[in-house]
Formats: sequence, C-alpha cells, structure tokens
Amino acid sequence: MRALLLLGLGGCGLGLTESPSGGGDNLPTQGAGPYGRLEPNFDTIADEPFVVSDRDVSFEGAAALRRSDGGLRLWFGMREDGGAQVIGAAELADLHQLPDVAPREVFAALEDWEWEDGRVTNPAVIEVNGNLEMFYEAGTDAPVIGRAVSLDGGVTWEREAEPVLAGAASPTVAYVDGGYVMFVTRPDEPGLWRAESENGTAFAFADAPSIVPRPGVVDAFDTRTVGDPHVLVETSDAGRQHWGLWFTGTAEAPDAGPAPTAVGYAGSFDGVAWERFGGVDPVLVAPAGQPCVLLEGGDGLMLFHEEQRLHLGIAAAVHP
Amino acid sequence: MKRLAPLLLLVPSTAAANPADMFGFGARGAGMGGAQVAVADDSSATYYNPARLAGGDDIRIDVGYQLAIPTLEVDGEDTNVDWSRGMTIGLLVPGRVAGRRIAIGAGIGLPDQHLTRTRSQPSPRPRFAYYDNRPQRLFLSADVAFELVPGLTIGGGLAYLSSTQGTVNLQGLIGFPQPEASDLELAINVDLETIRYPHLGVAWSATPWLDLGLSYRGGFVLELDLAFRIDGDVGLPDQEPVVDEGFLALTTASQDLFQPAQLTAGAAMRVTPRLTTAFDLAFHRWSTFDNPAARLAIDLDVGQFNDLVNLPPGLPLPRPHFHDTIVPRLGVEHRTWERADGAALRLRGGYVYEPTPAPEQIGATNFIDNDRHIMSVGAGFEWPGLGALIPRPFAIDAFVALTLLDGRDHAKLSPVDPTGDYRADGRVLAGGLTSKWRF
Repeated sequence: MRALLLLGLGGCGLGLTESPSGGGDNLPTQGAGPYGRLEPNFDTIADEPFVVSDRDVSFEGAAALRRSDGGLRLWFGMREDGGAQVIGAAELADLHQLPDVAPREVFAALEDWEWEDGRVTNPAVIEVNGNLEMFYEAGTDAPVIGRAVSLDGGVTWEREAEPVLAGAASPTVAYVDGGYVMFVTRPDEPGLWRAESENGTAFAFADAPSIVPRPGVVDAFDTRTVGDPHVLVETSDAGRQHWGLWFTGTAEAPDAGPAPTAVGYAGSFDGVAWERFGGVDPVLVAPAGQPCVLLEGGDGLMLFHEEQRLHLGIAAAVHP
Repeated sequence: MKRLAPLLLLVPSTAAANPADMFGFGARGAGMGGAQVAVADDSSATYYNPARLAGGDDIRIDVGYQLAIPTLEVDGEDTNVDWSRGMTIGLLVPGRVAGRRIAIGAGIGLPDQHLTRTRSQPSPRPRFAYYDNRPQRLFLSADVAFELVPGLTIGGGLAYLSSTQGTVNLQGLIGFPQPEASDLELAINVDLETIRYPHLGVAWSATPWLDLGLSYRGGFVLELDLAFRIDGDVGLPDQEPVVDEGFLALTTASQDLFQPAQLTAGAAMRVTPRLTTAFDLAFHRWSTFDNPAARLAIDLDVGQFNDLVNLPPGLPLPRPHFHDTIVPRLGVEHRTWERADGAALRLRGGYVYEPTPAPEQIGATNFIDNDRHIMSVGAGFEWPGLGALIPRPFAIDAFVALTLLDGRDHAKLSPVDPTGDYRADGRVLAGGLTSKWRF
C-alpha cells in the first residue's frame, strides 16, 4: 500500500514535457512605436542597422513587401556615384544577412519623357488584385508622381505615359475600398497632403493638408517641416479600419546644412482626421529619412534611410 | 535630490488566484463543473466547502494530477499562454468528539513548473488577465469541520499564499571614469511573507434527498515590493570624489496576485438513488480589483549632476473597472454500474457559465478576458480493495473539461492607441486524475 502511494506520488510529480513561458506571443500592435535601430551584431555578415548599403551607391526611400518565405522585397531610389537617380530593387531573406538578391536597377527615367526629367525615386509599391503597382516620384524642379504596373510579380514594369499627380513628391499609397488614397508632400505647400483616385491614373488633392508642422509646440520634433509619408491601412479582426501614417519631421534647422529628420506617427480611423502619437517626441530619433513600415504579429519593422560613409543606405528599426 | 513617484512602468501579468479556482480541485469536482459546495464528499471539500469534511468515518488521502492546455488567441494568433499542470494532494482525518463528527483536512495544489511566478509586462501590453500567471501558484489550505447537530456541519480554515518583498543594496565606491575601480558591497534580502485568507462553510442535509451548502472564500491581494539602492561615492580611490555620498534608490510596489472574495450557495439533490444533481451559484467580488501596474519611485542624489537628470512625471494608473460576477455551476453524477461487493462506476458531467468581470478594453489597459463556457465530463471507478495489498476501498476519478471563451472585440477610443483594436477568443482543455485512498 505504502509502496503504491509512493509510486503514485513520484509519478505524479514527474510532470510532462517542459513548456516555455509565454502569453506574450503574437500580441496586437499598431506599430506606432517607438522604434529602435537594429543593434550592430559582429557575429553576422550584415552591417546592422543597415540592410542595403554600398560604398559607391546611395539608396533612399524604400518600399517593401513580404515574400512568401518571410523575407523582404525592397524597392528604392538608387544612384551610383556620378550616375542618375533610378528605381532599384533588392531582396532580403533576413535582416542580419546580405541581400540574397543584390540591389539592381529596375528602371531609369525615360529620356523622351520630359516630366521624368532624368530622375525617378521614392517608390511606393502596393499589391492590387494580384498585380504590383508602383507610384514613384519623378522630375527635379517640378516633381510629379508617376505610376507603373507589373503583371509578372515585379519582373517587368509598364509605366503610365503621363504623371498621375503633378506638383507632388514622396508618394505613399493605400488601396482602400476599391479606390486609391495617396499621401504626398507638395513643393509649394507645407504639410502632408491626401489625394484620391478611383482608378489610380488621375489623383486629386484634398482641400487641406492632413498633417502640418507644429511650430507652436515647444520641443516638438516637427516644428519646422513634415515629409516622407508612409501610410498603412489595416482592418482589424474587430472589423474597423485603422490608418497609420509615419512621416519625417524636423525642428529648427541648425546653422549649417539641412536639419536631420526624425520619424513621427499619426493615426486615424478614416484617413481624414488624424491624431498625433507620442506627444512632442518622434518614434524613431534622427537621423532617419523616408520610413516604410511592415507589421507582423506583435512586431513592427521600419525601414528608413540614413547616411553611411557619405552615402545613404537603407536601415532597419524594430518595435517593440 | 530628484524624486519620481509613482511612475507606471510594468504590470504583473495576472489578475487572480490559483489553479484550483480555475480548473477545480480534484477530478470529481472538476468533472461536475465545480458544483461541489453541497456535494463534495472527499478531501476536495477543503477547497469547495470545509463543512463537508465531517461527512465520513475513514481517513482519506487523495492524490491527483491535473493539466490544462490553453489556446488563447488575439486576432486569430495564439498568444502561447503557458500550460498549467501539477499535483493535488488532499488529506481528510475524521473523528468524533462528544458523539459529534469532527474532521480536519488539508489540501495542496502543487504546480510542477513554478511554485509561484511573478512576471512584469510593459504597461500597455495585452495579456489574458485570468489565465496568465494565475495557475502558477502553490495552494495550501488547512481546515476543520464540526457537526453542530445531526445533519448540520460548519467548517473553516485558512489558505496560504506568499507575497514577495525584496531589497538589493550596493554600497561603496563607483569607479568613474574607470568602472573597474569600483568597490561595492552587495546585500540582498528577499522575504516570502505568508498571506492567509479565510475559508468558511456550512453544510446541511435538509432531507434524505437534499443537501444544501454555503461557502465563503476570502479575497486577498498579494503585493510585490522590490527595492534597489546604491549608496556611495563616485570617483576613483584616493581622489576627491566626483559625487560625494550620492545615492540612487528605486522602489516598486505592484499587485502580484488578486483573488476576489467569493460567496457560493449550493444544493445537491438525489433525484433517484443513482442520480445526483448539484447546482452552485457563486458571487465573485471583482469590483475591488485594482490596476496591478507597478508604481515605481526613484530617488537620487548625484550632487552636481542633479540638474542634468530629467525624470519624467509619474502617470496615474487607469482603473480597470472590473465588476462583480455571478457564476452558475451545474453538475450531475450517475452511478451507472455497481456490484454487490461495492465496486462501482460513476459518470459525471458539468457546465459552468462564467461571465467576465472585465469591461471592453477601450483605453490604455489591455486586461483581456471573455465570457466562458466550461463543459466537463468525468468518471469514477471504485473498488472495495485488492486483497492484502490494498485492503481498504479505493477509487480513481478522471475528468476532461473544455473551456470555450466567447469571441470578444475590443475597439479603442483613440486612433493612436499603441495596441489598437483586437478580437480575443480561445479555449482551454483540461484533464486530470485523482486516486482516492481510504485508511
């Protein structure tokens, strides 16, 4: 009897397999921030926080989509020393590895299209009905927004012959409820502007900017300028649409050279009325330009450009 | 000197109590949906209703093992809440004084992963408040029961848990600008202080076919108090210190664990000689649940550098606004098969509807909780004994329970809420065995 009891006690106390502590996986997040740059890791071949960089090439204004294997497809503006600004692309299997598809040119400005004026950059890429659509900035003194469509998953791109929006730069686009909503900067107007189109080929500006600088807010990171918008629209499992807008901002310019930009965030339930996040603070400290954010599970990944060895490279930051 | 208090930083990831509250104590009770206040007849009465300890004449030792596997999802993704598993051990020793029944009992719920666990999470991080740390607790109770008049017994006792208080002190010289020149003495003092809460019960055999019971379990709050302090000079040995007799003190006070006071009334009716039904109605006083977030206080004196230190102001903790709940529990037990020598098979079933005490999480807090439906089945095999090896009757009880969490949407008021809208649902599969021995 006693032996049986001891056996029972011992057997019961053995337990089954170890289970890891948890309860914190896949938690929801809007990915607002704050973001922290990838820490340099000397055990990897990558040059954290940079994921795409080259000593002879500048990369700026990244757009990104997830690959089916969890890797990243990147598009960006790239310019070799002495060369023209073109649209480029690369692919990453992991943030801590070198690109498994090295940076390459996707297309350059067409010589006979005056409006592209020898410069294309700042692509925004979205997937619409199984096709890839790219909206990009073209031109120099009078920037415009062009559009290209790929029916083969990004191998080849067919460009619209005319710009889809004039007097605008740094596009970011969302395809919402069967229509296109774009946020851009305007060279002659401060702030971030919303523009809409039913078919993506002709956009019209809203009457007023969505986000403007905050010159009257003491210590705000964006008292002087806002720019480089990136919009992300998601519908929660609870069924409500949420709009997130990351953008760069600057405070007062230093005496010499351009002010470094930091990244801020605003949220909205309709894409029209926006509320800023974080008070006066940015979600990613300067210097950081042209954010692009991907959300997955409970994590946010931000790609941005930052100077490295006198060139711009694409770097990564994560939240939380 | 700079001070900061209180500042919200971290939230212990729990709201309530122990594994017995969640999955029952012993396989018979769990198989009957926990409707045991008027029907518990073994050592599990130490948990359900101590008055029912004084119902038999045999010394009983019950040993079991229980396991619960949660799959709790937010937006369709599993949050990977830990499994809960561990032993249950119960002791019941009856006797008679002046012709009246008397019994003492003790119960232990012994998790085999963590005797106790406290985790802190960043304040806005969502967590399943009811399930996260709650099962990871050692449960101890000791009770006594008396028969006042034939058919009427009262019982009571104490349950034990521990709260944590700890301090870490460093004293000496902090090497600056050469950290290797530091010379610090370390002292650590951690106390696990006992928390006791009462458990009372009344049991009345109103008729040969009707038993009634009333049980009260006290509420409690376990506090987690931690302090870190470093005192000393900053500089280099044998030189004028950069900071003379500076200090940094950091204290946190948070709610480690909360159990609402619970009052349960129960009735058990022998509908036929073979069929018993039991019904409990429990009142859970969740409205006293406070925000468990850590209140952090920082106090420092770094001399000439005080002006360089900017401590943000503390933030008030939002109230969780939990509300009281009424929980109905229904259980049935059927003696399906029996033999003349006492061998028998009993089949059991149960259902519980437990409404959530948590409101929709529309603001800064994210205490995820849902209405629950718990369905259980169980079986008990009784043997009259196995010869000389086991001369007395013994039994094996088993149960399986499925908890289904109703899907629940949480829509935030602010478009810049860091968490945003989400939908939570899930299920918990639990099972267990209890061996019951008479002496």
